[in-house]
Parts: sequence; structure tokens; C-alpha cells
Amino acid sequence: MTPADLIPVADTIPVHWLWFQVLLTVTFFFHMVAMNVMAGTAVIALVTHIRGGDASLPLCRDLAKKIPFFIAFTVNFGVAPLLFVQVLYGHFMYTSSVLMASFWLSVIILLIIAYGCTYLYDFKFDELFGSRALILSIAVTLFFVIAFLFTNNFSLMQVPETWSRYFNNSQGTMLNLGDPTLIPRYLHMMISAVAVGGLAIALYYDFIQRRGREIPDGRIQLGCQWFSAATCLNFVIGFLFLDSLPDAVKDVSTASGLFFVISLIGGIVSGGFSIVLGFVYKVRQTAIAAFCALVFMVLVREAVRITYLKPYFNVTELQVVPQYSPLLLFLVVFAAGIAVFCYMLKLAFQVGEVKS
Amino acid sequence: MNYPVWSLDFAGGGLLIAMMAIFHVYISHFAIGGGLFLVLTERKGLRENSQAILDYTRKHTKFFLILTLVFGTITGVGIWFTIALLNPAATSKLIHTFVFAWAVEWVFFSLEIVSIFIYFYTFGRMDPKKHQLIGWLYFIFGWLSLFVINGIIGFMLTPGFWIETGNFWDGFFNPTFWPALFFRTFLALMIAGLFGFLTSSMIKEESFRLKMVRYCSLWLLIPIGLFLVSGWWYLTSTPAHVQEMIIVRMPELKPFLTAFQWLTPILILGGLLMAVRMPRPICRAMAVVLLVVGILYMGAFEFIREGGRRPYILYDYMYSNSILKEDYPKVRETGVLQEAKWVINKEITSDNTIEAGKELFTLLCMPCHSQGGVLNDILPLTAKYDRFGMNAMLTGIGKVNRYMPPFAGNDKERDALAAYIVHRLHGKELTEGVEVDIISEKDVVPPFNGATDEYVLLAWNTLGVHDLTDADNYWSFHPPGNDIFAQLIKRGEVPEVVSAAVVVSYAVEKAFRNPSDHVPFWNNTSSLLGRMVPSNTGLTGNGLTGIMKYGQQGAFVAEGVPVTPYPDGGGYQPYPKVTIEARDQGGALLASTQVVVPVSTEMGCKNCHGGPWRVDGRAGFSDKTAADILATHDRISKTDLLARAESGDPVLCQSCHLSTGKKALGNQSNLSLSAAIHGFHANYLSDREDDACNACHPNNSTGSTHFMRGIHKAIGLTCVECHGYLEDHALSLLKKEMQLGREKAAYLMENLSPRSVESIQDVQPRSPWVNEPDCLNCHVDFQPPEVVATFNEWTDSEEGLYRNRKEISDAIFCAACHGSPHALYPAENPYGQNRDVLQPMQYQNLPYPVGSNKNCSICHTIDMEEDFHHPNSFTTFRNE
Repeated sequence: MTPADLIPVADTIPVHWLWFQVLLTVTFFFHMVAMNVMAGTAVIALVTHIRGGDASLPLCRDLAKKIPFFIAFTVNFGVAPLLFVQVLYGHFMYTSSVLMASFWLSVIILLIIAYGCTYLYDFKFDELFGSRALILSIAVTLFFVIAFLFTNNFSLMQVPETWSRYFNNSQGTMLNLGDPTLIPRYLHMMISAVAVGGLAIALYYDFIQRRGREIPDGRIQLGCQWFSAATCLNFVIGFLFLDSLPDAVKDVSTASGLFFVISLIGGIVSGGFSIVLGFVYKVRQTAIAAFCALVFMVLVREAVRITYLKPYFNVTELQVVPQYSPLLLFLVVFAAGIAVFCYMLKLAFQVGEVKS
Repeated sequence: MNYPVWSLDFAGGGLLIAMMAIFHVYISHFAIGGGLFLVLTERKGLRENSQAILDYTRKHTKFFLILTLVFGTITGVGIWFTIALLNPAATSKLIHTFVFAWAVEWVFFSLEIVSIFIYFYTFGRMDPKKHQLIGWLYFIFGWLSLFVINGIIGFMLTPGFWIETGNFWDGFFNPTFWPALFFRTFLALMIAGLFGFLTSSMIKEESFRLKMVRYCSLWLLIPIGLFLVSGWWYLTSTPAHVQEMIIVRMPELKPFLTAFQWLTPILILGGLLMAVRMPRPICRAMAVVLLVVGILYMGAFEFIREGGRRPYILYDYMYSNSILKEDYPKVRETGVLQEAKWVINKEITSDNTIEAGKELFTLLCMPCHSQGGVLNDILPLTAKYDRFGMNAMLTGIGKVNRYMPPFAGNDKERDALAAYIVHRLHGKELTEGVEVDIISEKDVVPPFNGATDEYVLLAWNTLGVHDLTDADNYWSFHPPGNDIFAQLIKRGEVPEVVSAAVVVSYAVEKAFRNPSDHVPFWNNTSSLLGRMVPSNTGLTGNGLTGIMKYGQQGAFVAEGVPVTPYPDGGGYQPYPKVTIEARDQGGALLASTQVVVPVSTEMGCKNCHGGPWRVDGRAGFSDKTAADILATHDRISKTDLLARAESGDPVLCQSCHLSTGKKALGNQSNLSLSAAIHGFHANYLSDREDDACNACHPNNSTGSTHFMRGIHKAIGLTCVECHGYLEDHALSLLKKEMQLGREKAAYLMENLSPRSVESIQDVQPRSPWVNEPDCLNCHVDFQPPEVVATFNEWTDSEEGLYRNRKEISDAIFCAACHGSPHALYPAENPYGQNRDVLQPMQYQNLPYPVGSNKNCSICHTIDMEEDFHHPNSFTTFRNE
């Protein structure tokens, strides 16, 4: 039995695969941003609590109101890429999900608990007193556990050569712990979250300030410092991650390898710029550089997946049974949805700052 | 087949998806109806200029926000996760077919989140009209999410034209799309009322609480009528076989249907009671109770909807074991293990049977069954089976009880799966039937002096064996009653069949004269037959000894002699002997002989229905077996036979199922007993040889009766050569039922294919006990057969049956010289070398037919020179 023997047969797709690849990449990018802001701001709020002092409370209270929003949007923006990744790679992802099913399904329970904790942290902030850090630490811990499980699943789907372990363990308790890329990949992702969380704080207060309202001293600087420091650390982790990747991924003689290297260089350069800009508190410029770095890293991630699966599968192999009218419907609804979204935001901003 | 299967054991059987789905569906419907509740309640507050109502609405919004976002949203993703883990193939199909519907729903979902956040966080601060607009937008997006999801869920139950076209729109706007949409919309409004009770019952100020609780009552009570109407529309929009599955076929759905019926008035009553003024704690407690009732109501509906889809996960397209309907023939041919990707044992050998069976179990059973769990636990469902019974059950699944997929694999795989379930799950040994030890007795042949005796007395039992059903405390279809025939021949050059001026008596062996001590028939005759029958007396009034009457048939007859196979000393003897004596009117003995009255209770029902033998480990119906038969009948045919039996009111099967022939009984509208029994069981015992017959009839090679003991057995014939394979046999009976307008036969015929002829059209319909194989089909003109196969050529009437036929002169019954059916001379009886050839041995000292080998002098007193009784009779027995 070879690894290829275990790979399920893929279902047909209704439109050209490139549509799904684009939708996957774009929506995943937004999911990453939302997730980074969610987890990153939660970490920063927790560290701020731990550092202590009354001065920390206003920042934490501000963040407490935002974190449930970010969870909602992280989940919402996660739905779309999860949909499109199943269209292109479902036969890999369903398999890896089943292999680690017990852990994978626990994500739902953990997420409900974490989500509940953040609402408790928000709505009962003043009543919680000393328990604030405890409640938030539960949420943060669960965010990190969930992220670890996601990293396991999306790396496990790429390595069919390890799937035969199922025959000794069909209880859904397999993880991809033997994969040397797992830990650096996970850390790279989560430290990025801390960085983007810091950047989000800086951007938020910058936005408030630009609307002519006063903000407490040092908030923008604090956010930028978190960003740059975390991103510096992430450079180290990133190189460890790079080192752990198989040579085939980095082989520039292949199209995917070349794409990987170009995207990686783009990511490193824009990431480097963002660190410098962050240290000098150029918030919006930092955000643009970080935005570029994240885009490049999302592309790097796609290139890695393509190379990993190359011995077994290429998305171009998916059979198309054409039916474009549902796509058209989606595009129309999407465009109309954007318009309604903007209209609703306009109404909301007419009220002024959104307060609970 | 394509994907690995998550071994869930006790948590299997759909428990995970049930838990996740019921919560999600309840909350997600609340998210829709509750959205309308919010905006209309806000409007009410504004119109009435009531700050109290607006404050209530704002608090309710907060509760709504947390509940729908934290639990509703995440459990929604949870359903997706769960179905992908439990049935990745079906999930993949749904994703790939409806990817842009999901994507559209994602847009609506996003807008829902944005709008509810804005609605809550700007409550009281935004211009009221604009704020209500946001509320309306929330409701519209929520309802549009339902619109989209409803299309996909409806597709799973009623894919409609999608099956042929594969077109997105055909699948989406499927036959139940609109009724389900209305149904769910009204349900969502009702649930909004139920959650409204929860928050409004907490209002402290009594009059305002009463006002708001009554307002919530309207949300529950106004839509419920429309909900029920749309529910009926929904049900009637499903295909007839889905309705049948929901209402008739699926026993597991019964509690949910009952729950749905009972909870509807409870909800209405609850809604009315809530409008009554009551203290806050009681009001709150009732609100909680109604909320729980609501989730039970929703759960019952979801179980019913899921059940209606059985045996498919995607109706008429993909079975719940993930195998496509169109792939079934191929999988059956090549085998599941060859087709499946996630198995180690691709071939079954004697060394890996259990392990291969385990893999088959994982692929085929685990998707729906738990092991020791709450839902669909396979352990009690399979506990009664041994390997044979389990195999038969697997053969029949999906054929009669169509809520399970048909078994997908080949014969070896079916056996391996049966072996795994029986051995590994239940710890039973896999030994095949242990041969019953039978002691062969030396029977004394009655005397005959050819030189001096003036009479020859020939006697026979009309059947090769009487299958006695001694399950009388539960049911019966064959009460005690053997028919004994005798002919007295006055010897001479021209012999004479004596019909008068003699008294012919019979006497069953003494040890068998107290059958009421051994079977419970006589305790139950009132219930079974509607009349009292004296102990040890047959239905005709005959006892174990008596006088035989000369009948129109041309023989002395004792009908319905209530013999059983249980001698007073204990044990089991299916071949008791009866002594026949002919005397003149003065009492002088003219002739005497003996013959067996074969009767057996070794009917193999226990092979599938469980339970042990009742007597000596070799025969008889135990209570467990008998009760299980009724339980199965009750489950499939919606009867209450077991309850009736347990309350002392057992039934005769023929009280509903007609028996044919001259002893016809029963109800004309139901299938005849023979057609019902053979038609039903042929679905479970198909693709077998005569082992299918012997599984039920007392002819198992390791059993205690061996009723087929005549010459045909000795030369290697089985049931199949004359009666056809079980499928053929059943189809011939069922076709007759169809001709008689008993449409139920069609259901049993649907999954049966004839094996002796090309198609069902070629099967000749027949009535049981009337149209049977004719000996002369093979023995053309009484000659040795050239072809030994006679399925489909039936006797025209009962008169044509072997047991009723006579030789050419119309004087002597065939059976008088050749013996009973299935025991044609020279018959071999395991209970005694001479037991079944007593008369041939008595009159000619040979076990062959009486008069064979030119032994004409037995009756004629002199040698004859030519055939008389039938062609080819004046010859030497050829099968020595």
C-alpha cells in the first residue's frame, strides 16, 4: 500500500479551479488578519493584566470590548476559506480531519468556551476584578490550543505518507507531531498574531486620534512596539521554519519553488520594512508594509502546500463540470452585500463611536 | 469507501451530530424568528411610546446576541465539522455541488453579524427609523440564510430532478424547498416566542411582565396553525416511499412521531397558560419548561426528517455508508474491500476473516451504529444471532426493512462481517452446527406370510413430515395433526380393494399418547381456534388411537391425529410409529401393519430469531424464539401480537394469513401464509442452495430430523431440483398473490430475482399445497428421467398431487406402494434402518416400492407378466 492508495477520489468542480484558488487565497488572508488581531490583542491584554497596575485597566477595558467582535469576524472570515479549501483540497483535508477527529471536533467546544470567556470579560469587566486575568487567560490559552490543532490539521493534510498510522489508531487522536515543520510553523503563525495585534492597537488609536478625539498617552507607541518586537522574533522563527521545510519546496527550478522563493523574498523585505517603520511609530506605513508581508506569507503558504502535494495531486487535475450561473449569483450577491455593508457602516458611524 | 472512518464506539450512531445539530438548529431558528421579534418589539415600544418595552427589547437583544453568536454561530460551524468527520464523502458532495450557495450564505451570514452588532451597540442612540431598518436588514439576512440552507438541506431529502440532470438549480429548488421554507419560517417565529417567554418572565413589574408574556404568547400561538399546515404540505411533498419510511417503516422514528404529536398540544396549552397571570417564579419556571419542550419538539422533527432519508445520506444518490447507488452493482461484484481505500485486508482468507470482518464493520456499519452507545447501538440489535443468522440478516437488510442500505459486499465479505459481529462483538464461538447424536433403533418388521395371509394392509402418512409449531403460548400455524391413510387389499389373482365390512383402527405408540403433557396447544385452543379442543384430541376429533373411516378418496383415513415428537419418557422422536389393524366385523384380525407418523418441531426459526431449542437441545420452540418472531412481526407489520400473546391471547397465523387447499383458513386480503413466510424469508436467504430450505425445514444435515429421507435424497437430489431455489419458490407463490390482487406481494418481490428461469415474467404462479411439482414432469410416462429439474411445472389441482394420485386403474394410491412424499421407498431413516420401510420389508423383505422387482404376488398371489398399475412398473428396481 502506497500513500497514494489512501488518497480519496476528488469530486468535480463547477467552475475553473482558479476561481476557487483566488477566493481561497483572498478570504484566507482576511481570516488571518482577523485571527491575528483577535489572538494578538487578547495576548497583549493578558500581558498588560499580568504586568498589573491601574494604568493598565483602560487599555484592557478597550480591548475587552473589541475581542468578541474579532472572534465573530475570525469565525466568519474562516468560513469562506474553509469552504474553498474543501473545494480544492477536500479529499486531503477531510482525511486529515478524520485522522485527528477527536481533537478537530474539540475545536468547537474550545471555541465556544473561549468565546464565552471573552463576552464575560467584556460584559462583566468591572465586576470581575482579580478574575479578569484568569478569564482572559482561559480564552488566550484556548485560542492557542485551537491554533495548534488547526496547524496540525493543515500540515497533516499535506503529508499522506504519514496517514497509514491510522491503521494503528482510528480513534481520531492522531496529530502531526512528527513533522519537523509543525512547531516552527505554529509559532510563526502565532507570533505573527501578537505582532498584528499590536499593530491593530496602534491603528485603532491612530484612527481615533485622527478623528479628533483624545487618546491616552503611549497607546500608539505601545502597539507599534509590540508589533516590531514580535516581528523581529518572528524573523528568527521564520528562518527556523524555512530551514525545516523540504528542499523541494525551495527548489527554484520548479514553478512552485520559484513562486515560493519570490513570495518569500517579498515577505521578508516587506516584513523588514514594517519592523523599521514600527520602531519609528509610522503606523499607517507600518500597516501597509505588514499588509504586504501578510499577503506574501499567505502566498508562501499556498506555494508550500502545492509543493508538498505535488507527488499526489495538482489542482489543475480537478475535473470541471461547468455550471457558471451559481458563480454569477454569488458575485452579484457579494457585490450587493458589500454595498449593504457599507451602507450599514455609514449609518453606524453617523451615530458616532460605537459604544456598548 | 473513499475515506477513513472515525471509530467512535459508544459515541457513534449519530449521537454527535444529533447533539450538535439540535442545539444549532434550535438557536439558528431563534436567530431568524428572534430577529423579527426584536424589530417588531422595538416598533411596538416606539408606537406605544413605552420606554419599558424599549428597555426590554434592548436587554433581549443582548441575550439574543450572546446566544446566537456564541452558540448559534459556533455550533453551525460545528455541524459542518461534524458531518465532515462522520460522512466526508457526502459532505464533499454537498460542498462541491453547492459551493456557491454556501458562499452566498456566507455573505448573508457576514451581513447578519454586522447588522446585529450595529443593532445592539447603537440601540437607543441611532435614529429610530434607521435603527429599525438595521433590525429589518438583520432579519432579512437571517431569513435569506435560511432560504439558502433550506435548499441544501432539502436537497439531501428530496434531490428531485438533480439525480438526472446534476443541475444546481434542480437540486436547490427541490420538491420540498418551498414547504420546508414556510415550515421553518413559522417554526422560527414560534421559537422566538419561546425565547421571549424566557426574558419576559424575568421582568419584575407584574403588569408589564404579564403584558410582555402575553405578547410572546402571540408569537407562539399565531404561527403554530400555519406551522402545522405547512408541516402537512412538507410531508406530502416528499415522495411516497419517504412518507412510508417515516410513517410506517422506521421503528426508530415512532417515539419521535409520538413526541411530535404530543408536544404540539402541549405547546399550544403552554402558550395559553403563559397568558394567565401568575407569580414570577412560576412564570419563569414555565418559560424554562416550554423552552425545553421546544427543543424536544425541534429534536423530534429533525430526527423524523433525518429518518425519512434512510437508507441514504443523500436521497436516492448516496447510501449512508457513503457508497453511491450507481456504484452498488460494481462494489458487489468486486467486493467492498477491493474498492475501499482505507483497508489492509484486501482479500479474505481463513486467517484474516475476523480482521477483514472488522474492516467491513468499520466501513459499512460504523457510519450509523454505535457500540454500547445511546443511539443505534448495534449490540442489542445483533445479540440474538449466530453466524448463520447474522449472515442471513445481512443478506436481507435493505430489502424488507429498507431503512438500512443493502449489504454492499460479496458472499465472503458478508460471512466475514457476520463472523466478526458474532465472535468479536458478542464473544460467541464460530463453530458450525454440531451434529446431533441420533440413536438408531432396531425396528421389528410386522409379520406377513405370503402363503397364508389373505390381506395386505398398506398405510402411509400423507406428508413426509408434519411440521408442528409447538409455540402455542405465542402463536401457531401448524397445530398437532397428522393424516394417516390405509388401504386394505384382499389378495387374489385379481385383488380387491376392501372398502366395507371391516374395521380399520390405528394406535400410535403408547409413549406418544399424552401429547398435551408435552406441548401447550391444548391450553390455548380457545385463543388460537376460537373453541375448546379436548386434551390429546386433534382438530377433527381424532385421538391417538381410533377407528379409520373409509372416505370418498378410496382409503381408510384418520385425519388430524394429534401426534407430537415427544414421548412420555422424555426426549425427541420425530418418527413415532402407528399400528394399523384391519378386523372383520366379528373382531377377527385380518391384517396388521405399522407406519411412521413423522412429526417434527425442528424448525430452524431460532437460527435467526435467537433462543435455544426447547427440548433436549435438538427441537422445539423456546419462548425466546417464539416471542422474537412476534416482536419482529409487530415491528414490521405494526401489529401487537407479542403483547396479545403475553396477555394470554396467542393467535393462529392463519387467522390473518390465508392457507389454501382444502383446509383453507384465513383472511382473503392478506398474503397467504406460505407466500408471506417464503416471500419474506427469501429476502434473507437468497443466493443459497438447499441450505436455505434446510435452515427452516427440519432437514438440516446436522439436525435431529432429516425429514427428506427417500430415494431422491439417496441419489443426491435436494429440494431445489423439484421446488426451485428459495427465490424461485417464493416468487411463484408471490406471483399468484399478485394475480389475486394482494398488492403486498409486490413489496416482497421487489428484491427477489429468479434463478431457475430468466425473469419474473417466466415464473409460473402457483398456489401453495395445490400447485406442486408433478413426479411425471421428470418421470415422463413413468420412465427414468432424462432431466432432473421440474421447477415451474405445477400440478393443476390438489387432485394431481402425489399424495392424492392413484395408479392407472384408479384403485391404489401411489403412496400405498411408494411411501410418503419425501420418504419414497427405499427410504433411509436415521432413527432406524427399517423405520421408514416397514411395509416393503413386511411384504417383500426388500426396502423397495411394494411390488417392485416383479413382486406382484404380494397382492396377486401369482407372478404377473406385464405392466398394469403404470408403465415401467414391471421391472427390477434400478436404484439399488
